[in-house]
Amino acid sequence: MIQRRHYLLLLALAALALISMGVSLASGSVDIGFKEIIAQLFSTQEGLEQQVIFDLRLPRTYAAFVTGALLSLSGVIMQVLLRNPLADPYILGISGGASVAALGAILLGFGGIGIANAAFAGAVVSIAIVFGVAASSRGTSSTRLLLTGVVLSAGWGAIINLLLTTSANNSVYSMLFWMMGDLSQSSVGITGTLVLAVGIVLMMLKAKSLNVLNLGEQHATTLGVDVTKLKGLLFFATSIMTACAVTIAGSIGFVGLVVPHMLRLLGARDHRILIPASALLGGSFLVLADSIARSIISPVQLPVGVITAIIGVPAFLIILRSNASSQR
Amino acid sequence: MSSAAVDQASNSLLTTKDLSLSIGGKQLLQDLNLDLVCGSRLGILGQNGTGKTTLLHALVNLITADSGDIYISGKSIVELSRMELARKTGILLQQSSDEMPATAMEFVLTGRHPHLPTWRWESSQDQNIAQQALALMQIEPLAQRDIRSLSGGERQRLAIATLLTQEPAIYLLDEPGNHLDIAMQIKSLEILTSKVKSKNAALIMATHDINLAARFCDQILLFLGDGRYILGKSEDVLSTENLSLAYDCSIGKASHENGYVFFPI
Repeated sequence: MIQRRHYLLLLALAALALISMGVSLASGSVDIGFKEIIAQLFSTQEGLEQQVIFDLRLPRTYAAFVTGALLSLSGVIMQVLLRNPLADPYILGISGGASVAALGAILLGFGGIGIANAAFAGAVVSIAIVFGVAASSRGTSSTRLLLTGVVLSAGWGAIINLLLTTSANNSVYSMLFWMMGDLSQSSVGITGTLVLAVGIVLMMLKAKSLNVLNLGEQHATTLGVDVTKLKGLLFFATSIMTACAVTIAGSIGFVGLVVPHMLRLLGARDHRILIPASALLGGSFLVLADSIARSIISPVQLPVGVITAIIGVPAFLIILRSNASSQR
Repeated sequence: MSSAAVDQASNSLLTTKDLSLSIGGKQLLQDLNLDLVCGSRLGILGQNGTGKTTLLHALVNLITADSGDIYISGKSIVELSRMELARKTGILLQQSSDEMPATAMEFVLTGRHPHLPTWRWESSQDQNIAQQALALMQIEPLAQRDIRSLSGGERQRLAIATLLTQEPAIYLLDEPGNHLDIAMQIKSLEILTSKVKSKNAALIMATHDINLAARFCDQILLFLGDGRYILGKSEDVLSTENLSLAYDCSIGKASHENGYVFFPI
């Protein structure tokens, strides 16, 4: 049921998104104030500050936002698809496949774009394996899908460890950094933007069916949802969005698991609200985490995945706790 | 076409033609020919595992029958989309799974899903229908409660309220009395059968309670457990001989001032 407070929530999240972008543009090794950023955004003069903002911080902020939005949207969908609150975008092994391919590319000495392409190819291979094994003519059962994904993840994990233990020291460092999630060399490009836009529109069209599916597959079927078809669509939507996110920034943990739950605990259970809300909150969350990651002990940059967990864990626990006490 | 012919054609809500069902290699039902007209109430009786639930699931296309056809308002169910089917048939399922949080009101409102076009949200009219269903089942005060915190009986009343919100033409009930106290069993079925009467709908209920079926159904389908069945008017089918045969247990019949009851001897 949609209520006034849901619109307020969306409005607040949109404001948060703008604020987080402002903070992100203002933080880094070079000190640029808010006022100057606004002036620079509309000025035609070229200078160091303009270069820092347009060539470094703006693309990175945008990459962080798109990645965060993709991850939390995939998280929402994966949790409905598997009907499991513990599901996250990586649970079906997509990031494992991407990691193995990316690590292989690092080992072979490829640079940023080579690594990204390899990661995407690895993710696609992983998706194909899961679908090929788990799909059957009578539709895909959630348990079977989950089991296939978890086992495949374990397999990828073993290969990752093998690569890490047998590689030279200098490449191990960049491998670890990639796996923890890193936005320093990210670029979104047209593909990432397009995948996010199509993903949001497609999922909004299906939002009502997602609400029903969430309450049980048989229940949904008898209320007019073609569950087999919908689950197929959800599988491919969440897989491609995750593959895109991993390609942009490596496997950043925690966003996809926690952002949807935070919003559900805040009362946004209806997918028509949850979908846009998680795109906004997921994006803002990652933008803020990345701002902290590159400014807290600057000029050293921390992997953003570390920060998402450090902020996310207590924030989630506090909301969970206050929700539990208000239920009594 | 004369108006009498139109009546004849539109009067038949659900028809099965030589419908056969089996599960795990066991024949449950062979060549069932059923014709359910508007306003009729069919009770399905039989021992455990004789196929009562399987038949209900086949009628809403949750499972596919071995052979035979099912027609709803003259249209084969394989030609109907899930949405069309959900506007025609609604089922009270025996099992429910709800690990995900939702309030009772959110759950009841899912009953409107088959009636909403893609971009339309629930209108205040949909809200009213849901509200009324909750009120009918006397669970209005629970509207904002999380469904996972409801008792078995409250959960069952919520499921019936959802079915009422769906407003189908054919109500299929799988053990409608489950978890309900004796008064609530009668009250729920009174609500459902009066709905069937006022909307010129039809009702099929599978149950273990012979007396509940005798009280609310005008036709009975009695499964004998090997694919054979007895189908007919309640007063014809519900004899101690037929019931004793179907349940493999001696069943007696006792009269009282308001009617009669069946009981195991």
